[in-house]
Amino acid sequence: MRSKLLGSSLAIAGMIAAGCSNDGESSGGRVQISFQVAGEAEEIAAYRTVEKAFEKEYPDIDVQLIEIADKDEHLQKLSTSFAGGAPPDVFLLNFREYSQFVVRDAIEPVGPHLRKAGLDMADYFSEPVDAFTFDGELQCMPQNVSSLVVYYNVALLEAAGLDRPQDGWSWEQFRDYAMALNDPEAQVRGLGIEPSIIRIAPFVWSNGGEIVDDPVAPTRFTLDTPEAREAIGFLSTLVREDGVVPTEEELAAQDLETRFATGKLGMLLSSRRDTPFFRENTSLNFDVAPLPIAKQPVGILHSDAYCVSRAAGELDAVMEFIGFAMGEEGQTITALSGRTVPSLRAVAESGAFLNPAQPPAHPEVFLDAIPVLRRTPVIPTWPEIEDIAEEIFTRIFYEDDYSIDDGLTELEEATRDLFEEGASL
Amino acid sequence: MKGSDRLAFPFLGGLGLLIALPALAAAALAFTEYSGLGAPRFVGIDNFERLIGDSGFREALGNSGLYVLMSVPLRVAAMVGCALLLHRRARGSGAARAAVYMPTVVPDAAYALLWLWLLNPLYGPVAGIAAALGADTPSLLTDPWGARLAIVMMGVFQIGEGFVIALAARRSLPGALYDSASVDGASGWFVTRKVTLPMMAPVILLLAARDVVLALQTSFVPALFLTDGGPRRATTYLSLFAYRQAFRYFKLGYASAIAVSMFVITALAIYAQYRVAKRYRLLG
Repeated sequence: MRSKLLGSSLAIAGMIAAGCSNDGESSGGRVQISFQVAGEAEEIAAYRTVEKAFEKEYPDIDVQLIEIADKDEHLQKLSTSFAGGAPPDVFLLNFREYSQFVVRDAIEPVGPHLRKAGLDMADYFSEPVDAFTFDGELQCMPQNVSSLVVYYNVALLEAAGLDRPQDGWSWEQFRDYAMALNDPEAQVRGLGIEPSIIRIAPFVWSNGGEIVDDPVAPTRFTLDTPEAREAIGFLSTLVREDGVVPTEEELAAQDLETRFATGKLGMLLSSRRDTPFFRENTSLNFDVAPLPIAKQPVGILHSDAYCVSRAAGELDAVMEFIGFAMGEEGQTITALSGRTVPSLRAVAESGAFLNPAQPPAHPEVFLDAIPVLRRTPVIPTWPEIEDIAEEIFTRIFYEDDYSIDDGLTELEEATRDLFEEGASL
Repeated sequence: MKGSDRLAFPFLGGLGLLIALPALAAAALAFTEYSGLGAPRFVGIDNFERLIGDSGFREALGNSGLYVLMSVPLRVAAMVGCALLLHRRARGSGAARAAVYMPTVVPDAAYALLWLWLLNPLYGPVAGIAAALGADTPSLLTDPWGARLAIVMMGVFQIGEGFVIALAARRSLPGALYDSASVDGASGWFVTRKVTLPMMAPVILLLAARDVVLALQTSFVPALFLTDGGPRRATTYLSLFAYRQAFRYFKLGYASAIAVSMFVITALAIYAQYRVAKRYRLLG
């Protein structure tokens, strides 16, 4: 009895160990690599297509796609798999999140490997490549060069008698559009904007302000300058006084993306990531316009990259995969899905991305923004700083007796230690 | 060793492997700086010192304490109340007992998503009923106190295991006592107050102690799915706070220190209950 029990326990332990192992051992003569990605079903479908196309061209390599539903779960799974010693070989990370992996020496810099494999970085937009360069080396290979734009519902715009927003439109015009599109009785709001630093930052920059004291080695927020305060005030007025942004109740009932996809929002500030989701609703006619301008045109980079775990066993196979995904075929597949603004110039300027048959009809808006893109700081504690900022901006936007002064004071106090900690790692 | 004792081995093995070992590992990690991405580095009591100065931790501690104070009395009252109402064999009592137990078997995540739909401020049934009655929609997901109340309400319906224990305790009380009370002409309320509840006191105390332990842990799933710790961090309980530190900010050492502090707080809460029970001679 005892020996049977012991035998069963060992068998179960063996099965668990086998299930957890991820050592790149060949299976049926094929080298196995794993690739973890998070996103909506429509986004995941694009990566599944890349995986299939790659396996067709490289039959000796088997890519195991680890599909995760949302970003938080993606980070949680990365955290547990790294802690458990079995991280995925390749995973996508946003540039705002990768530095915590770099400073802890958890990822293999891809730059030298990809150059050796023949990838010419001059073929790619430099903005995302710079964003993923840390300590002088390209750490992860950026797949896209997306940015914040204004999505708008074409039918609602036409119904309100509005023309497509012109390039270089002003904040006042932006506000007028939001007011004209706002129709709470029809359950339509003029504008959707998240109370987050990545939404507010381009408005601060456009007005001549800065969000931190040093973009490379920040020690504190600088949102208390007149320029920054004016930008925050402009946005909070849209929410609190003009009432053109969904209320907290409306957001608790339905998120901004769903509201836009179902015709309940006139405009939405978002990146390219939402395009596949919006395309799913074939009755939704949407397009994109550039961000409005106060003093200078500015955009904010949104970019994800292929990162490689330091523990990846089959580096050659991994680099073949990244090389394929970042090559013309791989970039074309993700571009056609609507998910990415390709970082490979040739594909970004091709019909795969600029095809007007599918909305948005003006995809060039994303490309036109590239020269004026800026980015948030790359420090390991930035995700935590962003979360605190979002809580505070939510209060600034929605809480009647909570002023901008209250918020900025609290933000300074709540993030001081995190900036310090970020610099020390 | 009796043969029946051996049956406990697999359970004890599982307990050791899945509970005791990870708990010991967490206790050790609490004294390290550990991101999960590299090797842990011993930092002594730094994490605990940092906890004291961390306003987020204090806020989460307050939220958890408030949740325990609001949830445990209501849940224990619901367990005992349902047991007293349903202990007799009567027509429909079996179905009623099953109905009380049913929400407990629903997976936590599915249960939380169900409540997310129920409490949807515009499209949920609660909002629909409020509108039909001409009342304002209760701000259960957007107001800090509303959200706290919503999570407590969710817990009040998941009392299956405690209900079964209370039911068994009530049914084990000797019938002769009730016959005597009946002969003496005692009212139902008098019997409940003077006979039933005092005799069930040790079980009720056990249920309360168990619920304090559970409350600190089970508040995690609804806070994650229903409110995401908000609004205004009102439902960021210790468990959710530790989860975010570990899996979003890669501070597993610090999160382990939070987990250890949760263990200590739970032990202190149970000890306090034990002292109160002993003082008032509730342990039988």
